[in-house]
Amino acid sequence: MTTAHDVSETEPITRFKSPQVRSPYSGPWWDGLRDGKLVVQKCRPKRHISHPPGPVCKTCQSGDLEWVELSGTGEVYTATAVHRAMHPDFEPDLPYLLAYVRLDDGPQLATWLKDVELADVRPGMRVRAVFEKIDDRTTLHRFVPA
Amino acid sequence: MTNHDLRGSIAIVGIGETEQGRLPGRDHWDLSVDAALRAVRDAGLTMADVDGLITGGSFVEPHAREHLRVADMLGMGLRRYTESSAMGGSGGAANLRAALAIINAGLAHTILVVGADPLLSASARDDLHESRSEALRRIMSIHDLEHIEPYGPIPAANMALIIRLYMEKYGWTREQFAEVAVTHREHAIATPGAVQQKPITVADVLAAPMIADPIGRLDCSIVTDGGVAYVVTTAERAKDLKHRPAYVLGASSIFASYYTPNFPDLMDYPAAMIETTSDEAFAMAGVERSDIDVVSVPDVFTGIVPIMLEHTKFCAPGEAGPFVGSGMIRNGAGALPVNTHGGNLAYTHPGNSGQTFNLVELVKQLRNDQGARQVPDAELGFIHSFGGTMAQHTSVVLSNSR
Repeated sequence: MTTAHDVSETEPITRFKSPQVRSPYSGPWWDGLRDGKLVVQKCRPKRHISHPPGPVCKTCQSGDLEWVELSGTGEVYTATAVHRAMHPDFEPDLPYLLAYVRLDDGPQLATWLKDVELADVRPGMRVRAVFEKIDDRTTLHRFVPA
Repeated sequence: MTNHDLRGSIAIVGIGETEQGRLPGRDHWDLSVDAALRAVRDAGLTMADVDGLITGGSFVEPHAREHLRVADMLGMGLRRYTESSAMGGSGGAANLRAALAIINAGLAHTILVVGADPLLSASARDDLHESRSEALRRIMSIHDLEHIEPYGPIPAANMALIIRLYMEKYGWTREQFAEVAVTHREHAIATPGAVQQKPITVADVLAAPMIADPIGRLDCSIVTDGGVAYVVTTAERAKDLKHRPAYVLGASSIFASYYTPNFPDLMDYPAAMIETTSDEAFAMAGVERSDIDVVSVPDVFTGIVPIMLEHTKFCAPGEAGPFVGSGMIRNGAGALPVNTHGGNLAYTHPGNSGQTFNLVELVKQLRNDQGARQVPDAELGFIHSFGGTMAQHTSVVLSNSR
């Protein structure tokens, strides 16, 4: 597990980075992030990955779901540099690189790229997941060049 | 899906807009009632003639039974159809397509569609172009709060992720997009009631602070307070009313997930939705793109405009960037007048109802009474509208004759 940036626990809880309302289905996803893993739902009958977590498989509607750990590797589909925060919580991060990453064995995720400049990001660039602790409740995924 | 038998069966007969801009002290209810009454009066009707109501949802004052409260404030009597339909930016057009079904099914004969929000006054800063605000937080609430919002995907960034793919594919440039901002500003300056009245240049747009690469501050739509409404009724009733009707010749909608990361891709997948609804609307209308006199497409960010013109097939693949960049969407001078009121970039943009103003602009042009900014002899208008991040699409062909 790599921790890109730890926020001091004495800082106020960040409302936007640490969602206060969580679906009853997503506990293992958040637990996985805390433990440095990407853990998602997979339906047993057809082996579809289904994300974000929900009551049934989004492909075949099966309710017979298990949790599986993904490899955490994938490629960048598209990215942008965000220079304006929607909320003061994000100001220390400006500019941050918002990206869609296509995981090798799972879903496409909206995430942040770290340790790279936008000008050096190319579609298809190989990346791997790292994990950033936001507060005691929340760890978020980031991706860095593989 | 479309039913070609419904071609020309309903028409927009009344339009109403409140004052737009910064309107301190006015709430979404007051603005809704103001816009609604203007639309009903514009049609030459009274509230007693209206038997249906569709409201568009508020970011600022969300209410589970918005339509019932607006009806009570309007003093509407018994209604035959009533709902709140929060379709995001596509609401004005999507609710018109819904009205096509509702009216033809005989559920109601005259429907009032209303949208309003004091989005600017609800924001922390008094700046039409300010993005860091309470308004933006409210807009963000359309997203998956648990799985997307923690990554700070401001609306400009979501669209930038798409626009960058087109720049990569076709070589479209920020200069071309800047020309979209300049053209919309010129349109707004020529249009009574438009919020942004100060001329800008391509250099101004390129020099503005970056928001989400390649989207700068002047590539962004404005945030305003305001309300808008229209009245739609049967073609039979429309012909004896005050204004020349804007008949709905064709309309089609398609709706995808708001959780955009589950789109298989950000180009072909939304493109197919746009092509489907626009092809179906034109097939139902029985007219060609080349017949269209005036167009409205979403302009929430400048780079979206050429993407829309490509997939609604007004431009061949790749050509829309140079097309908008060479002034071809300018009213009067260009080949295809687009958003002739200035759109959400410059006319107004009070949230959900923003693109409803793009629809109302087509109605104005089809009345042929817009003076110096009138598209000469405009007979046919086309609008494409979307909500979310290219998630909910509606295309409509309007005409001032059946």
